[in-house]
Amino acid sequence: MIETQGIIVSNKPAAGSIHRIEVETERMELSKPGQFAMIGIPDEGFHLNRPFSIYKQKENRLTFLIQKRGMITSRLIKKSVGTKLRIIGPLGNWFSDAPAVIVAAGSSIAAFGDFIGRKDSTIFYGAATKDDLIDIKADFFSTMDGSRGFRGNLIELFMTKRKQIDKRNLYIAGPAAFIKAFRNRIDDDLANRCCASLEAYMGCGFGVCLGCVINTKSGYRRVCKDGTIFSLKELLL
Amino acid sequence: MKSIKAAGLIFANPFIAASGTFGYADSCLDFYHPDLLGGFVLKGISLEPRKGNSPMRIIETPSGMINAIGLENIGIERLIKDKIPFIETLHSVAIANLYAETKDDFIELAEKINEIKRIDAVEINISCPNVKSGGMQFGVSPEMTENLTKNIKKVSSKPVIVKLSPNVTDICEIAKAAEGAGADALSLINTISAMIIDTKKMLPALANVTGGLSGPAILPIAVRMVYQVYEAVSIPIIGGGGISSVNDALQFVMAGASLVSIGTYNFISPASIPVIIKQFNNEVKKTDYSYSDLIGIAHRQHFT
Repeated sequence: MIETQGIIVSNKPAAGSIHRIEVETERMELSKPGQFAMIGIPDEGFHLNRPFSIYKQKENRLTFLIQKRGMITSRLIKKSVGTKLRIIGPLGNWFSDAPAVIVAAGSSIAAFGDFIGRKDSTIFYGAATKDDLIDIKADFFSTMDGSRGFRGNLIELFMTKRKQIDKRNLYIAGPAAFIKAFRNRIDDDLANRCCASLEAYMGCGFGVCLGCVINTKSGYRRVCKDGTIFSLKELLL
Repeated sequence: MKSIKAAGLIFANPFIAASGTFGYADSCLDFYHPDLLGGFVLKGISLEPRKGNSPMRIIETPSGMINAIGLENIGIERLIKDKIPFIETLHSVAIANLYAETKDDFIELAEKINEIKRIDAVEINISCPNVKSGGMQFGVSPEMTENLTKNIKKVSSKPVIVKLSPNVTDICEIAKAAEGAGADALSLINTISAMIIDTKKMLPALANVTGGLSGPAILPIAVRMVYQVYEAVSIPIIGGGGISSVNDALQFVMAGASLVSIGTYNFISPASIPVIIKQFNNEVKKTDYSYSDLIGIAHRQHFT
């Protein structure tokens, strides 16, 4: 983990309110699947850095999928090439890169960049409409309006394919409410081998502020440092 | 820069990492070595481990943040077993921040800290706004501050720093009470009691309802308090509240702080802290004054 300066080298709309932003850092350790970085805009006064999955990395160049949600993301998606960023990363634990079945709703696909295009992995990817899906190759798509793939909820799509889910690792990412809904819908066999990467409001991102804890069977754990990936059965959502 | 003597201790530079923003001195290792600091204050420690408050615990605010962690910590036994061996390898001033709900527990904790050779001083936390009992309860009353400080001074073999709360009518009164009870130094300010309401949920944003505001938003309040306390007492002051630049640190020194503490900024750009320390030393050299002459200099300058 290091703190370094990054410069935006590309910023393009990817889908809906998601931008694909590429950042060339001065130096960066190689991240593992599912790790994240904290991003700040140093020239814009005090604000907490924000956590984003490292979608792709090639040497010092990081790609993020950034969805407009609040103050900082609204600013980030408007930033021009050349804007300086503060980058702290890579952070958090990571997914094993063994073959996996992946359930990604909306911008959480950003946690699984390393699995996209792999023949040994299966990706379920859903969003509100086809315009909210970034252009990737997934195995099964769902949209709430039926504009692409299964019409309805991603979890329901996943359950229709339950019989095809073999013993591979099962990975899911997203806000706690989505993960809770998923856990409540699946059977114990799946739950026992499912790992979930959680989103959280973070202060520091590297384990010191204790601001992002979630409740687990072993007490409060820091999403940033003890996660972001937790065994689903450990979580008390 | 020459080293700084305060509270019977020697600091290589005036920068101290504030309690709760520096873990157990192991959180910054990926960014810089703790020995680049003058000193550091460990995460507030209690006799027993504490779970802390329920989430949500933090929220960003204009130029700052509110936290209500609730003094989650590993407890004194694990501090000794798991964290002190690493701290023993460090050279900068190590300060333990003590938290207890009762006077007796504070005394027991201070006695346990006496046994830890590597801890150079204790900071007594009578100013945490995020716990139900103890904490700020002590720090808002001059009598309780005096009584507790006196009792800890009686048992502690180490210099005693009292961390003051800004959530009082007259901070000078509390400062004088601590000084009268024998405090070796004062640390100010702790966070300012504050809250945010989530208008979508129509609820307080933090589970604890209120929390402590920190960051640049509180800097002018903290500078004002250091300025006033400097006139009220003669023991050294560790000044802090929203420091994120050389100029911020200089303000506290000129207001009367012998040492300055960096808190929230440890979360934002830890790697820039050694850079700030270096630039600070250069800025001090550029003035016609020695560092010790700069302490409280704003009180001695005349308006022209």
